[in-house]
Amino acid sequence: MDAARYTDRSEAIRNLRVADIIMTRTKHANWLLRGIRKMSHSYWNHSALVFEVIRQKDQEPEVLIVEALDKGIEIHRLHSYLNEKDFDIGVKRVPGITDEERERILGFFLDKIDTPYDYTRLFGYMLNRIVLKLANVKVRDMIAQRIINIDNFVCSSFTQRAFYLGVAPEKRDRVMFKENAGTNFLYQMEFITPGDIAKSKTAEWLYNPHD
Amino acid sequence: MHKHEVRGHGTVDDTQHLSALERIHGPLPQLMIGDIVMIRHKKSLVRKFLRKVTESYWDHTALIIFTKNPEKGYSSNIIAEAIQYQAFDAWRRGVEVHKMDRYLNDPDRYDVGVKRCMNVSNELRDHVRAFTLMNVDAPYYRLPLADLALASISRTIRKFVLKRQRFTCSGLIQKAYWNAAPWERRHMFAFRDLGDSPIELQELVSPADIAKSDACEWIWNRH
Repeated sequence: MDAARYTDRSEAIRNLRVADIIMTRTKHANWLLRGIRKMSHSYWNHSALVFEVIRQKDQEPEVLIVEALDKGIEIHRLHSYLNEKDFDIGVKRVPGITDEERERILGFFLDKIDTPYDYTRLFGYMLNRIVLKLANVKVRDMIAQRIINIDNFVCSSFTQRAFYLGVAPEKRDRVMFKENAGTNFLYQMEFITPGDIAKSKTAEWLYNPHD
Repeated sequence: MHKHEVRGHGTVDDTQHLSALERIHGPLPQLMIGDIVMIRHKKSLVRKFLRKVTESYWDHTALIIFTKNPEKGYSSNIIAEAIQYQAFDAWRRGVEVHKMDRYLNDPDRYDVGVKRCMNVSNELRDHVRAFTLMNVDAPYYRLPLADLALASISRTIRKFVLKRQRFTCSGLIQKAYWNAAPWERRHMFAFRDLGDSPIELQELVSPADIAKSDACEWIWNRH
């Protein structure tokens, strides 16, 4: 794994830009969050995106993030994840994003506010894991086609869609976080976990790298 | 193509793009960042008591923080508002960001009006927006059902309740304008009498105060 650009959290926060990816790990995680980490073989259980950075004189900037939570796509302050007792955070950035593309990504955020969370997808992920374990059969294609509601999001599919639709069409291949050649497009776009984003070389680590 | 007579706005060729409330009250004018959205909840007992106690048609306020821009990919105005969903502490939220369409598309549950502070520079509007965003997730002061119910039947209790009740939704808007404005212009954005200290003013201003205030003008669906 490559080293992060910043080793100090405050320095990383001071240098955040719109569309940077915030990875979070809930320290006192419930069974669902632990399940997400286990299923994706990752340290992280959630991803969010920087929505706005409000810079203030002589103070750490106020950072707003956009994320898919149980009530849907919502905007919150990064502050809520800075309590080290409850959360660990990491920061990644997709390189080569232009200002115009960041504006388009911001437009995507605003368009998707209040879009519901895709609970059926979580059910699908679990179903895939159970069937794989019991019968050694992957049912992910069936899940991708029949269970996933592509109008709704989980945290990581929201992140993937924002980059895919935000960048220039000729750059779309370069912002896919699942890099396995041969997988189908729907699977790449929608069957994605925070672990896929954490492990992907599409985005570079700015702070606190963990797979 | 459908033709509809829209109240106060003549004939509109195609109202399919209009929200349900715009079909009733006419198309929204071009909104600006910092415009104040007045909201009436039609199916909430707490809100009903609040309207009675404050003697206003409106019971909730929100602030426009992004105006719709289909060219940039979003076709709804975005509001920031302080919300109390339920009476229980655990379910109470605070300052949140939502689409304005959630109110405009549900005329059975809501009515909506819009006010604007005039002669406000774009720079000040940006400061209002930044202040509001910095308060996202700030907690909500409870609207106590029992107190409001009693206040709606007794003038004495009404005075007592209104003297100490804090309104997060309208307080957020008052604070945003008060803090964004240069100090010599702050009095222009006081939505209730300046008899209050600035701190009282920012905490105690109610949706009714904003609705009745001359510091902002009605631009849509006056009540």
